[in-house]
Amino acid sequence: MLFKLTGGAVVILCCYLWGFYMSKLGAFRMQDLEQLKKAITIFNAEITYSATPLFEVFNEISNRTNGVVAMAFEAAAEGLLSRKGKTAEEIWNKSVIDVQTNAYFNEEDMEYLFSFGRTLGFADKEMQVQNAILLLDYIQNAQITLREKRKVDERLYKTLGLLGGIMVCIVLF
Amino acid sequence: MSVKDEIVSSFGGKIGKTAEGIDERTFEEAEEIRIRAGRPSVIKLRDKIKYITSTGQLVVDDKKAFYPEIKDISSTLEILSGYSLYAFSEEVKKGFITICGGHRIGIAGRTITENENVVDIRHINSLNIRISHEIKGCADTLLPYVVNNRSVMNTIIISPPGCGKTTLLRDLIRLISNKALNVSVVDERSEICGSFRGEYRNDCGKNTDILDGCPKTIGMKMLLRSMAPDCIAVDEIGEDRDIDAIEEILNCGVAVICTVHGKTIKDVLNRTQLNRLTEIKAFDRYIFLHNKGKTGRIAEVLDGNLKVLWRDE
Repeated sequence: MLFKLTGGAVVILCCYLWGFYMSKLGAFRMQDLEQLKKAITIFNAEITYSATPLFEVFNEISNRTNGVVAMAFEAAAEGLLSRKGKTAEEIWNKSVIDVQTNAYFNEEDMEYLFSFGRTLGFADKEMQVQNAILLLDYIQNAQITLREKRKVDERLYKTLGLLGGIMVCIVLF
Repeated sequence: MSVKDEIVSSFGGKIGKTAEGIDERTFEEAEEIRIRAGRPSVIKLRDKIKYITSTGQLVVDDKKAFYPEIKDISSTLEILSGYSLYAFSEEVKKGFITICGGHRIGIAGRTITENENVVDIRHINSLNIRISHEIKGCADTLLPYVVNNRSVMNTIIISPPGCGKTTLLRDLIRLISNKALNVSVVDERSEICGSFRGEYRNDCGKNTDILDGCPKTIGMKMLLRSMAPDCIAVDEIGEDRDIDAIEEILNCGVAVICTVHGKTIKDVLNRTQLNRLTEIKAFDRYIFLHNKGKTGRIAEVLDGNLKVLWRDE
């Protein structure tokens, strides 16, 4: 009996932790989006006011941001500096894909990130800035939607985890 | 860093690979490399023109040449601007980009205009890579005619494009500067000193102050007020406002050394803007260059009354 009770408690705890983790996914994505927003704001300022070369802009961004966003910009800066014959878009896409496994961006976020890379390096200042503004607008809208969703999701997943665990126990008993 | 390394490291894609195949000695001799979309790539050496194959071999048959596509030119431009074409927007409007080593890349394509001013060039399909050479000593013969008792003569160097005006001017600046005279240079296109991200590739002397990337007219006046120069050097004058600025500098007692496109003294005298200066005998020395053979080779030196002081026999 003691064995069954311990097993049940473990099942409930695991299910609850799963629910807790799922409820936090939105928060993790929010953190990544927040860092990306900061990065793109720095990007806009550097391009608009000082016409800094792209690799220096990316280095500056990686120094002033955290997590996967900093990693992506750092890798892209290194790629740009090495000038191995690839286009800026190819270098950017590779950097983004490399950090994707550690990031909480969803598919739509990734699409916008790839789209940001399309004008990198080649377009004039106005086009670079306009493209960055497009990404910023998307991030802001995504954050609003995510905030609303998180309120529901956090409670839902925590409850689902706990109740799921209890249900498994009842079925197994 | 050799000339080849500077060019190859700035290029990418197929054009970069082609440049990689060209041997180092050819780069030392080369004056221009012309890359045009859908047309054969050409290299202009001192006294001959050849086609470049995709592996960097020089041939006379244009059918064996490398025919780049417009996308090769786009990717090359992207890489040579350090993926930052937006940072070169002012240069692009003027039709060129200067890369590491002071090499000037002339560009042509579809221009976007606003109020009769070029605001951008898109769909760039032609590149003219003008290779900058530093030839120390090419102005040795000229120095005694330009500097007399620590006084610098107002000097104008005249030749058609590609004969070495900038090369000669650069060496003259170095020699004057090394005589403990303060030389101020307005290097509008970064060709004289070869500036790249604040570092100067070319030796412009021990007493030289350089205003890099600055329009000549503004730069000359700025240097006159701020650097107390013995002489001011500028490359390729010709516009009315350049002449106005030179007049102002001459009136302040500072010498000017400049270059201008032209072949004979008539070409200079016929140009209305320059005529203003020649009429008042503003220049003490007219230097003409050979248009064949070695870059920066002096043909003759004339004084302010157009009397020949020295001629290359």
